[in-house]
Amino acid sequence: MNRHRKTTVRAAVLLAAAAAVLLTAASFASHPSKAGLSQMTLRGVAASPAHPNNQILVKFRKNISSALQSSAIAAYHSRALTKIARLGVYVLEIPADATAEEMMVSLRQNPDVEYAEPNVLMRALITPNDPLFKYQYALSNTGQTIGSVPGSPQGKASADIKAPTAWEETKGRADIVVAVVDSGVDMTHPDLKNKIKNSGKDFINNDNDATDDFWHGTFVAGIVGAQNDNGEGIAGVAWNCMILPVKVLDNMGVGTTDKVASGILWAADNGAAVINLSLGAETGTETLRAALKYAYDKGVVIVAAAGNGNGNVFYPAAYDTYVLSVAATDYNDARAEFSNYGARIDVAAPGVRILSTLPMWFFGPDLLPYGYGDGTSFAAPHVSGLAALIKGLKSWLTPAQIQDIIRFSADDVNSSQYLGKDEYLGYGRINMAKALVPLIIQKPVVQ
Amino acid sequence: MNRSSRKRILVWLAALALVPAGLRAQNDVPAGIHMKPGFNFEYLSRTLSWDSDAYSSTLIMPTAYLSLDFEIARGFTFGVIAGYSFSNFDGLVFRQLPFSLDYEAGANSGFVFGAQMQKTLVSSGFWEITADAQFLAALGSTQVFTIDQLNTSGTFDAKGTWMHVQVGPTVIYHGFELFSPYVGVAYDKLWGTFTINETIGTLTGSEPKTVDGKGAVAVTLGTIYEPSPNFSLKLAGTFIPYSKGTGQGLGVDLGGTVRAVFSF
Repeated sequence: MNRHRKTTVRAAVLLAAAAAVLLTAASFASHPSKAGLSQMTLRGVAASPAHPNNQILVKFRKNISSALQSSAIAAYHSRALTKIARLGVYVLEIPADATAEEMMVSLRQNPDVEYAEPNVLMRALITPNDPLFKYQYALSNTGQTIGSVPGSPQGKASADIKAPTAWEETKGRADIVVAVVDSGVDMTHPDLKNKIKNSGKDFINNDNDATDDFWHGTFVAGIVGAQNDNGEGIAGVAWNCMILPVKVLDNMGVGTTDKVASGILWAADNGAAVINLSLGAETGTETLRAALKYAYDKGVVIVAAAGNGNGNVFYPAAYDTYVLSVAATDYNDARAEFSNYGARIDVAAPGVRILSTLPMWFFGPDLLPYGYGDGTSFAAPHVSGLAALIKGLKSWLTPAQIQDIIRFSADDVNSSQYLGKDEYLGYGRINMAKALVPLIIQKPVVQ
Repeated sequence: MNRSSRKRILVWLAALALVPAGLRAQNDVPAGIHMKPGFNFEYLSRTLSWDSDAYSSTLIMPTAYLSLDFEIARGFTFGVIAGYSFSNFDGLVFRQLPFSLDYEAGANSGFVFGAQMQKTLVSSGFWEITADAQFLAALGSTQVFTIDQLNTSGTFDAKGTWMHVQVGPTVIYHGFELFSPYVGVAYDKLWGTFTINETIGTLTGSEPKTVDGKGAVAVTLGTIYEPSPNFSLKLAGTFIPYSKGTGQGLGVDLGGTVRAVFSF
């Protein structure tokens, strides 16, 4: 099968025009900086050492006087940067012409030395070591520059979904599956290949290989569940959860209602706990509604993008009971100007300048397969990832309960303009920490 | 309180109620029944296990109560207890609710009721061995909390109850004029429930948690100060060893009692 040129079979009921509106707005056209991530730059970041090469830790035996210890340090042409007095351990800066390993071997042969060891670099365990994580303001916004090229925007600290705090509570479970019902997924992508449950289902070409020949599904999948802590690329929201690719959009990013409905039904019947629908149209259909109801009744949490036309909420996001409808915010917690609005908006999530995975063929071999994108398409998978983490922690909750947890824990970031739930951001920008980390009961108000 | 807890309480109360009736026939009945009202303060800290031993926390129970003992036969007293306990269940975690909770709200106060008995088994010279039993039930109270961390208003209500039984022999030495030191070894059982109900917008949930005190044997060292036949003051310390888990050694829970008893 040619993954780049699959034959598109269109059904009678066409969503094509409307879907194209959503997907075009979500494309990279508005962000010419997509090539800003050069391979060379990124590899430099990834190659950080396990410990500083010019520092070691040394402890002398108890009977060695301070004067003798100082003399010994000087004899090794080293300098004591500091001493942990309570442990009697020196942090030594070794001479430039020696390596840490050589110095440790030498010191260990000295009978006055109890031990010499590397000053191992430690990091907060919950922050993934994925080198591009620093650009993922959506997960953790410190006010960093979002991008590696000059002119990249800078976010507002805390305008994020608080992923690292939430990961301290849970990283999810591998048996919780998020179905990405989209254009497929590049299952060879190094940041995704270990997170794919199986090769999925392709409703465009009617086979069991949901490989992405567009790019959109791969991008969505990376936001939901790129492999974390693999020293490569980005971090996914649902750390341990798996991705089930379901291809319902063709190589132009267009699909029909029957394909989408079939994809939803198939995902629900094949172990999906969460279905992400970063697609839509201005018109709803009974077929689509029935498919959503089927999945919802099976206990599947369904998340959909609201759409990018700065107009009414698209379908399926507008199917209120069954679907969490997601609007987009930016790196300042402001509403994205393209984000659709209306009473059916449930929550918002970052959807501007979102960094995620792209198919390996997208840029070719000279650039990393990652890029930035805008759209509610990329806000929704943040919510899907959160839903998967909640489901993993509390598998007994119903979709309605999980929807409410996500709604009620959101931060009302536009409360200065619209206090409470509003038609632009719904209950607000999702907050993973509030949804997952236990609340602490401290003081009663009534007894 | 679940059905098995209620059943256990009833069994203990029945036992405590029936024993004096049986013993009354065997002992020399004094001319009149002596009443012994007492003021008591107990402090007990017990390590709890819950959720199938997956978690543990500490229940701190300062309890003040009045007791009214009746010496209904020579060497046999039976009494009832009523008081108030400030039971601190801090450290319990609730993970089954839609929004998980950690309970750190301090004392869940409430009335306590109970019964106690003491029967002299052996008395020889300065030595006396008694059989002692005490049952306490703390009823707790419902506390209501509001939550303001979320965008939707919500409340939690919490209530904790516990029951405590001690049964065992005590060896008392009466060789001193005013002081009678003693040592007791008792079977010690503490159990209870703590329930939280959560209501946040349309979300509701309830999570009852059954807690059990670790350890089953209590060793009590104390002394009875008796300056007059009508008044005694009892001071005691209690140690309850428990296993921290496989390969993790032993821990010890501590308790203390101050008891002033008047005799009429």
